[in-house]
Amino acid sequence: MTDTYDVIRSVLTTTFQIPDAEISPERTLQQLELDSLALAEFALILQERLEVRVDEEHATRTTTLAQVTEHLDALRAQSVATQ
Amino acid sequence: MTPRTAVAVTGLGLVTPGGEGVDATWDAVCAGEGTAAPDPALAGLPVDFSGRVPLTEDELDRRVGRRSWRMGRSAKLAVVAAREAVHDAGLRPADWDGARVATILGCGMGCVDKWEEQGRRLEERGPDFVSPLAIPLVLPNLGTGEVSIDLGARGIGLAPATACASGATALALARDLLAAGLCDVAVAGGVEAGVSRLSTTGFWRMGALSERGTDPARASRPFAADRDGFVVAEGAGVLVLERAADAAARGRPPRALLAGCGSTSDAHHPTAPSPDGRAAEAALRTALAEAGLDPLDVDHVNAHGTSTPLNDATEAALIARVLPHRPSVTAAKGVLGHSLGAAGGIEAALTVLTLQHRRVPPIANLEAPAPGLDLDCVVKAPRDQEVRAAVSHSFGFGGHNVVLALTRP
Repeated sequence: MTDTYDVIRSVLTTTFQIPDAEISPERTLQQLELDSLALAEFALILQERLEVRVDEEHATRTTTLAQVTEHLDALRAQSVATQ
Repeated sequence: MTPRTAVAVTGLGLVTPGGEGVDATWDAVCAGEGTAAPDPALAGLPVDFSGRVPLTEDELDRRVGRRSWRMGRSAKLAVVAAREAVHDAGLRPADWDGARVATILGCGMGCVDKWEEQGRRLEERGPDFVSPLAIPLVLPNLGTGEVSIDLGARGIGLAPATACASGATALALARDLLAAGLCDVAVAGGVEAGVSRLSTTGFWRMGALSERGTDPARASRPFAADRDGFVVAEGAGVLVLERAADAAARGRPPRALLAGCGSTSDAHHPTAPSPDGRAAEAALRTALAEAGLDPLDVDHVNAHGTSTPLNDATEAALIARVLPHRPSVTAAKGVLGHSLGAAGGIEAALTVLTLQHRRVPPIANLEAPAPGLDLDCVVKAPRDQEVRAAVSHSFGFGGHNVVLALTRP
């Protein structure tokens, strides 16, 4: 169990001003009204917060929050393993 | 010159170092106390104080809502002030024909603090760490753009840049667009959030800033003998303008009339005012002629009054020469500092309030005008007086002179 989902949720509620009630694992980024500019900014913020670089194809408008979390968890595990 | 058709000012919106909203700002300027304070963003610099809007970024974001993530501070201030102005005018974006609504918000700089931050990221961490928002954050027209989106205003949009006269230029242009029938409503004024480490240091290197860092709230002192420069500040001042007949047709009494505008260029020097003040005088005389006013009709001057030695001396000479009957003079920059491109919009709004309330706010930090400046400056406390006609002066680097003549309806 990691804090990845909590970090994502915190970025969405603070930076993107999305009400907490709208956020759940099965929601897609498009459903949260993130456009392409927002997705690029979202990826940069996550990269800074989690110190792993999100692949663009794993954070598209049809990606769910659960999928982003899964991808980031995998990257974070990899990054720990190679340290 | 034939008098021009006056346009009605039907709404005001202000976000300034004096507070959030028209009432808070009016109360602050009437209190006559400087608002500048040490600025953590400027820590360690030769000038480390400024006039900030008393809202944190988080508070601003909550007011702006879902689109705030992509906005620089100037766009956020513009959105908040424009919403207040439109609400004050009794207009509802849901009801109006957005194609006939113009958005004209002057801005001198754009969010240069974000630009500097992104520049540091590029050099220190590489291209991948530059935000995709770098460009939208710095563009000076994005206040206009975000306001038009927020209000569904699909008519002409402009962000005139005449440095410290930008807000006044925007209002003069908006008047022209209304007079030409190119829009029915204009959301117009100025916005700026240009306080940054580099911009402040740049103004300091020019010798334009007050160095009274030990007492920031008393640093801005327009027309005082010991004035030593301006205090950099931020804010937004937005007015809703309509043709007077349209406002009357929808039963909306104007707060005031924008009766005349004069815009000229010194054609002299990029940053120093022309010593003869001829172009500034022409702007003042044009504004009065358009308004059908004789100079003796002017009851009050809302001066540009930056608190720099040169500006205030040139402006005082202009007022004494053209308006020798000594109308009352105030200068809001004593309280609010100099919000650059926003100042002309904010000060036009304050002039409207002076006309409405028949009350002239005092100039902060002033006992009496410097010897040799022949002005009737309002000091220490607000002065209640009859004000039927007033002018608001704005002058900007580049040699821009803009004078707005405002009258009671």
